[in-house]
Formats: sequence, C-alpha cells, structure tokens
Amino acid sequence: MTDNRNPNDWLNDPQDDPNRDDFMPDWNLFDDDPSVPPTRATSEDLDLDDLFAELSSLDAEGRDPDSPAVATDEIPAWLQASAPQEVTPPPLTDFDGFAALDLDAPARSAPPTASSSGEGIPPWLDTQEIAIAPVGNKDDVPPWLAEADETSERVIAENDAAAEAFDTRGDAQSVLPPWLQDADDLGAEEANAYDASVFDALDFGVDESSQVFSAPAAPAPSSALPEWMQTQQAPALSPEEEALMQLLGENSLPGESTDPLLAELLQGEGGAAMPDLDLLNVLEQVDDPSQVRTGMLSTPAAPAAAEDDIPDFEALFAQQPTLEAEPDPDLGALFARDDVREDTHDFDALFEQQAAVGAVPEAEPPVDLAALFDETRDRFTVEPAEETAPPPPYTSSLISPEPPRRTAMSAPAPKPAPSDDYDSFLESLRAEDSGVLPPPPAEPLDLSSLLSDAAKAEDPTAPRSDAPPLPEFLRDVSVSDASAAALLRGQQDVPLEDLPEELRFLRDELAAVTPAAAVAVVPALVQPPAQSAAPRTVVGLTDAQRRSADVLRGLSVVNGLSGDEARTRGQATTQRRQRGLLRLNIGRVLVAVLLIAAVVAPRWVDVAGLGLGTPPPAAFAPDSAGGLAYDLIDAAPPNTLVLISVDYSAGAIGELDAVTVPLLRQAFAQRLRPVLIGSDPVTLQHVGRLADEAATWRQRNRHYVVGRYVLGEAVGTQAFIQNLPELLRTDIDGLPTNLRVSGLDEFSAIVVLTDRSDSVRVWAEQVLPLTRVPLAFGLTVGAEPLARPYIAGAGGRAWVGLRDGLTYAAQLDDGALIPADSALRWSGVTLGAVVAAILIALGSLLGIMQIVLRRRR
Amino acid sequence: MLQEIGLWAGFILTLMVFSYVLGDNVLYRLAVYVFVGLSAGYVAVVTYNSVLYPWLQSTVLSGELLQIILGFVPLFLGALLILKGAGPFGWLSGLSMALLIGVGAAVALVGAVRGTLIPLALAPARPELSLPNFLFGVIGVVCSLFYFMYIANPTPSGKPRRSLPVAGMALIGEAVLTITLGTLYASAVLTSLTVLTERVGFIVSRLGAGG
Repeated sequence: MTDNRNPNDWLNDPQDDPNRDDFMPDWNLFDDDPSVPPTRATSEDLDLDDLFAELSSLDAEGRDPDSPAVATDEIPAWLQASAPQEVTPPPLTDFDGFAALDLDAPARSAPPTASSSGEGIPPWLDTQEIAIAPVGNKDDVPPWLAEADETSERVIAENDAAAEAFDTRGDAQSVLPPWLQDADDLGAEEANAYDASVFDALDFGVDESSQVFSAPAAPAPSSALPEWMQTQQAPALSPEEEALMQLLGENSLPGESTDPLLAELLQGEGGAAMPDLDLLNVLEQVDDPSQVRTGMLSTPAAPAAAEDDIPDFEALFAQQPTLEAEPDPDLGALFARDDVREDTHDFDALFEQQAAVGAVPEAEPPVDLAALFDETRDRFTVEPAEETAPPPPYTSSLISPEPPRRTAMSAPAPKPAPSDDYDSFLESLRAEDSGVLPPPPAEPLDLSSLLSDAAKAEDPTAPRSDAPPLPEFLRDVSVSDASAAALLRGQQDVPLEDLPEELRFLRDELAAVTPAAAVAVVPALVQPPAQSAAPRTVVGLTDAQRRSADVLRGLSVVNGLSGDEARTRGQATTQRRQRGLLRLNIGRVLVAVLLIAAVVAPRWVDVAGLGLGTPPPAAFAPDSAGGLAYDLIDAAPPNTLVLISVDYSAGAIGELDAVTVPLLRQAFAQRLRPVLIGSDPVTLQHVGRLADEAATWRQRNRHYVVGRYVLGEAVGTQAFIQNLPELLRTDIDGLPTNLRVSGLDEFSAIVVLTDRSDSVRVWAEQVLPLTRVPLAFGLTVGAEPLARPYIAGAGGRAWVGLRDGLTYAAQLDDGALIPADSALRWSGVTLGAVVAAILIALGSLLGIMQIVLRRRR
Repeated sequence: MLQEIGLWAGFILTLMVFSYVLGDNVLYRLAVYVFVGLSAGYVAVVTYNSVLYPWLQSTVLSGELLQIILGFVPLFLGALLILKGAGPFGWLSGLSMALLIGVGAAVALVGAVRGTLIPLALAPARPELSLPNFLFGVIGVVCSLFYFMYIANPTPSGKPRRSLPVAGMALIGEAVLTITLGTLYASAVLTSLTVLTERVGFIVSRLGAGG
C-alpha cells in the first residue's frame, strides 16, 4: 500500500472539496501497482485468518501500519506520536474494514498470519503487550478524533475486563489466537457494530456441548470461541430471518457473513433494510474488483457464488470491496452512532453532497424498489412441501456438512428499526437534484407488509382476504411462458359455465358494447408488440358497415330464429338432403304439372275451338321480317356461297331448329352452297348433321361446308372476317374445305342463327359496316325484343321462333298446310302460354295481397 | 339401331332432367354432368381439330421461317398466360392479358360506335316512322334516362326528393322499363314453352313408338 497522502488532506485539500462541482471522490485510497493486473481473490489465495488478521491490523483509516507510508513525515505529529499506541482502532465499519482489505493485492496487504498463534498480529495491535501512550499534541487532533480517542480508552478498559472474565472460565484460553482474543474484545457493545451486530443476529445454531468447527478454513475447537459467541443463544429466528439466512447461504455462509447491514436487515424493518439487499445483489454481479474500487460498477453477469458451493468467506469478502464505492448510508449512520459530532465531520452530509454531484449515479444505477421487492420475494419463495415441516434449527455449513435447507416462513413479526438513518439517507438520495433514487411513491412503500403479504400468499394457513380468488390462469403469469394472446387462446375453448365470475362479467360487458368496439378490441389484444409500437390505427366499422352488419344480423334472426338456431336448422336441412330425402316444392311441382298438361293437352283435347291465338300462316307476308329473309335466300344466285353462322346453344335447338331446317332446305333448293360456322361447337355439329340430312345427294366440303368453330365474340368475329380465307381452309373435323374465298363479298347472303341478342349486336357492329352483303337473322322469341333495333338496322330480315319456322316450312312447301304435328305443337305452345300467363297473374296477385296484408298488420 | 339407342338415351336423359321438378336429385345431376362432360370433351376435340391443328399446320409445321415465327407468337403469349399462377413470374401473364383486353376494347368500342350508337340515334328519325311512334320512342328513351337520374333536392327531414317534373318523367320511364322487362320475360317464357313442347312431343312420340 502506497498512500502518500495525508489522512487529513482530503479534509483540507480544496481539490477534494465535496462542494466543488467537479468533485470526484477518490475511492481508490489504496492504489495498486499498475503493473499488477487486478484479480479477484479466490479461495486458494484468500485465507480466513489472513483476512481477519489484516482486518485487525488496519487502523481507523484503513491503512496498514506496516506500510512505509505510515512512517513518513506526512503523518502529523500528533498521529506519529500516537501511532504505536493506537492499539484499539476505532470501530471499523463494514465499509472501512473491507475497503482496507485491498483484495487486489493480497500479497502486499496480507501480513504473515497464523490462525492459531499471534505471530501475524502486529505488535502495536497486541492489546496485552502494548500500553496506551498519551497523545502528544492534542491540539492538532480534531475534536471528533479526540473523542474517539477517549472512546478507545474506555473500550480498552472494558475489553480488559472482558478478557479477565474470559480467563476466569479457564476455557482453553491459550488455544485462542491473540487476534481472536482481541476479536472477543471487539464484541463489546460499544466497540463495533461490525461484528457484534452480525454475530448477534446470525444464529450459528452451534450446540454448545459439541461445538466443533468442521470447516478446514478455521479449524478451531469450540472452546476457542469467545464467551460471547459460546453463550450466545441462537435466538428463535423468525421465518423471514430464516429465509434471509437461506438467501445469504446461497451466496456466502450465513454464519460467516459479518455484514452489519445484514444485521440491520434482520433486526430492523424491511423498509429500511431492503435497499441494502439490492446493494448486495449488485455486489454479487461485480466481477472485477478494480472496477469497483474505481467507482465504475459495470455489474457484469458473474457466476453466483453459491454455485461454487464453497462455504468460506471468499464470496463474502469478494463482494466487500465493492462497498468501497458504495455510498451506503451505513457509513454515516455508524459514525453517527459513534457519537461523531455532526458539526465537525458529517459523513452523511458528505455523501449526500457526493450523490448530488452525480458521482454515485455513475457508479450504480438508481435503486428500483419494486425490482428489489420482486427479487427479494422470489428469493423468499419456499417449497410447498416444506411448509408443513417444522423449521429445523439453523446450522451453518461450517458446522454441518449438510447444505442449508430452506425453511418455511410463518407469520413474521417485524422488529422495530434500530435507527432512522436509512430512512433519512434514502430521503436524501431521493432528492430531485441527486437523482440517485426515483421519487418515492405516493404512498410509502411498506416493504415489511409486502413481505408479510408474500409470506401469507405462500402460507396456505394464512387467512385469505375478502377479494375474489384469482382465476387459475392469472395466478401464475410469467413473461416467459404466457402472453395475452395465449391467455385469450386458452380461454376461447372454455365453456361459459366454467369461466370465472370476473371473466363472465367481462364477457357480458363486451357483448353489451357496440359491434364496432368488439371488432376494435379483439385485434388490439392479439396485436403483436412490433406492430403495437407503430402508430396505432383504430379498427372499426363505419356507419354504413354497421348498418350492413345489422342487416346481416337481422337475416340471421328471421322468423324469430337466432343465429345459432338458424345455423342449427340449416345444418339439419343439409343433413336431410344428405340422407337423400327429397323436399318437394309444392308450388314448383304444381306449375310444372300445369304447364306440361297444357302443352300435352292439344294432343288429346281439341283446343282449336277455344280461340286461343291464331295458327301460324302458311306463307310470310311480303313486307314482314320473315318474308324479307325468305326473299333474300330466294333471290340468292345459284352456286353462290351463303354464310350461315350457328350461334345458338343446345338449349335453343328445340326452337331454332324449326328455322334452321327450312333454311337449309331452301338453300339447297336454290342450289346454293351453304358454309356453316358457329360459336358453339355442339350446336354446329348438330346443324351439320341436319345439313347432312337435308343435303340428300350432296357431299360435305363440296356442296356445303361445315366450317370451323369461331370463338371470341367480337374479337373472334372480327378476326374471322379479316382472315376469312385462312379460317375457312378446314372444316370442323380439320378436313380441307377446298374453298377459295378471299372475302365476305363473295357470299350472296349472311344468316345468323342465334338465341342471344348480343350475337346480333356483334354481327351488326363488326360485320355489317364492313360489307355490302345482306344479313338475315334467325332468332328465338326471347332474343328478339332486344335484337330488334339491330335487325331493323340490318334490313329487317329475320325469322323469329317456332311460329316463323312453321310458316317458313309451309312456304317452302308451296303454301301447304302446316303439318298436323306442327299444328299440335303450336297449339300446345299457345295453351301453355295461356296457362303460364294465368299462373304469372295469380302469382302476382298473391304477391300484391301479401304486401297489402303485411302493410295492414 | 344406333339411332334408336340414341333416341331412347335421349328419352331417359330428358326424364332425368325433368326430375328436377321434384327437387334436386341425383338423376338430374347425373344428366347435367353427362351433358357438361360431353360438351367439354367435344369442345376440346373440336378446338384442337378446328383451331389448333390447322394453325400449327399452316405456321409452325409449314417449313417457312416467317410462318414458323408467326406461329410461335400466339403460343408464346399463351404460355405467358399459363404463368399466371407461377408465383414470381405471374406478372408476365399481364403482357398477354394486356394484349387481349386492349384489342378487345378497341374492337368493341369501334363496333359500338359504328354499329350501335349511330344507327340507334338515327333510327327514330327514319322517315317511315309515324309521328306517334316517333314521339313514343323519344319520350320512352328520355323518361327511361330520367328514371336513372339520382340527382335530388334535400328536404328538411334529410330524405332527398326529386322535383315534380323529374319525378313525373322518371315515373313514365319506370313504366316503360317495366313494360320492356315484362316483354322480355314473356319472350323468355315463350321460348321456354317452345322448347318444352318440343321435348314433351319427343317424349310422347317415344312413348308412342314404344307402345
């Protein structure tokens, strides 16, 4: 240790003025050799006896008296004169003492020690051999140190008395090393809170009759223990204390934990001691002591000391250097307990100022009381299986080879706080200008009560509150294995009766809100976090959408059926249909039977006398559409081509065949060469067969051509007339047609047979403007009304339906009467039309009556 | 013999289709499926024989380079249409679709102007039309257009209301449209009855021939 600074310089040097803005406390009072890398003390290079010996050899300022720096002239005269006589150091606080250990340089700091002898103890520390020398220049001594001097004298006197009492028992006094004898002296109440408080609080559970330390680190007989340790009956620890002992046992041996903070924690209220617990947790994570000493707590993830399962002081002392950088309130509090006058050196105020200038926040993040509580609560978690077992007496691992077991917590009885120093210090840290701690909550956090609640939550025998019990899925909600979406998914399949009362209430509330709110809520719950971070857009229904939803909802409740009932009924209907049961539609059957009867009736019943309609004429009127069409074909030059486009579907065969057959007959009769094309290959093949029947002796692809299938509506028709020679090269069967056609003008007539008005429009639009060839149309009755304008624009030549077909056939037969079969058919159509008209009228009347009755209701 | 078999097959299939009067049943569906299947198969055969094979024979199989290149153009465009469901290359089908829609729209537009708009606009002015017919045609067209006019004045109650002249003309147009649609419906009924009589006559003739 090379400290060349005057111990009083930090009080007098303006550079170290804590009031300065740029003040940075020099915590590294014991500078190491920069060439020596900082290492953490391990169990191999750290000896318990060495540590205690070193601890005992340190002076009040944490200095090694053997260091050469102590003997320099920098020491004031009063201190030099009194140095050999400073046999009883002022009470070492936990911070001072552990800071003085300087674990980074154990070779230099640890003096030669022997656990069983006093060889390693400096002579000036040997209280039995060194007499107290008077202080030379009392004027240079600060008043507070002078008081400490007086206190030292008083403590020495008391220690002597205690040593005499110890000797009177004659319990192997010689076995005790001198340093332990001195340590016995340190157990005086006024001497030090460091040892006494901890050892009083910690229950070693040592049986006095057979106290044998089994730990190899300190192999001392039980008789070597001081009286105050032997006679110290293990107090009945409260469950909290036992749990805390177990907590400490995970990181260090409870029996060897000499931290007065722990004593404060065990004896005081939880609210005062809990921050120190967090401090210990931070210290556990400190891996590099050098960082700690320099005030740079990076809190790396260090392996837990408990994992080493080395029940020695390593973990504890390895943590203690971190206290060097901690502005723990214990320092000020303990100094205050030592009756240090605040007007001289107020360490509380000093640390408060240091925290205010931001030195401390750089070393440690602000204390999170909530996280502290959670962490403490987790550590206090006990296993249910052990709750019923009586808490076994605590035995240190130094004594028993068995590892410490967790014990159950019963109703804790918080002990009063020994002092209010922690509270005052925490209040000072919470100051706005310090920023060390977050502002206190609106209501003071009663950690003691929280701990009690935690204990009650784990204790099945504890009385329950009146609050409703939480559902099972909410009792164990952890971030790792549960999410909101998972909760929702988990509750989706739960029957309604199995839902908890709270969730059932929420469900009713959700159903009471508008559908838009329901739609808006559910996606928000299952929204992934990444999306929720983005600007949120409210998903909802507009007014129009809501009205549509109402309409749909109303449809589901038609006839008083709810959605579920309608769905059930629909499923039943489907099942009946799947069973093959025909569901007769009486109305449809009735209409069908009536129409069929009307159509068939003329075959057995003479309906001509009823005067229903007029039979088709035997010839077309001269200026009629049929007559014009007939004249067109009749006027076509022989051996010329007639283009016939068969564009009707198979459903219209029964009607348009009545036109197609007379047309083919006329064409063949006029020695024309029909060229058949079509947009429906089925119908085209059918018409080709009709042409074959009408051709008699004529041959296909010589006297007539059943051409190719033209597809594509307007585009196909346009392509056909643009590329006519190529497309008429082959027939429908792919055979050559032997036609030599260059364009439409080579045709004498174009006839379009269709059941769709659109086909008429296409031919009128795409072909008629491009050619002078006259067009004629053969239409069904259903297509005729809409095709009439185009027919009129194309010359007005058209045959429409069965009626014109029958007339066309009769006219081809030189005005012969319509065949009897055709007449009966026409009579059937007429009677059927009448029946259909009656049915339509009745249906319309019934519909009107229903509307009127509904309005009256 | 084959003709008789065909006629009886047609008779049975006709009865199966008529069975739909009793409701949707397997016989009706079977008849429909047979007809659709035969139609689709026949269309495929006809398309190959009447469209594809002649095209390939005249272009790709002609041996002439220019014709071969010309023959591959529609094949290439057709192959692009197949890529419509091929994921990342689906956009290539847009080239063929653009060509089809563009050409179709152009052809239809020219034909509509030339074959529909101009002739129908000049039709009421034909000299052979009488004045009543001319007036009826003009009034019917104008009133029908007014019926589809959705411009109205707001009322204090918030419900829009047409002005009286517009409402009157729209009412006339509604009557014209109703008569027109009724006519079309009646025409469709007549067509259906014609086909029905043909089928019933066929069934009766078959039954007579069988009896």
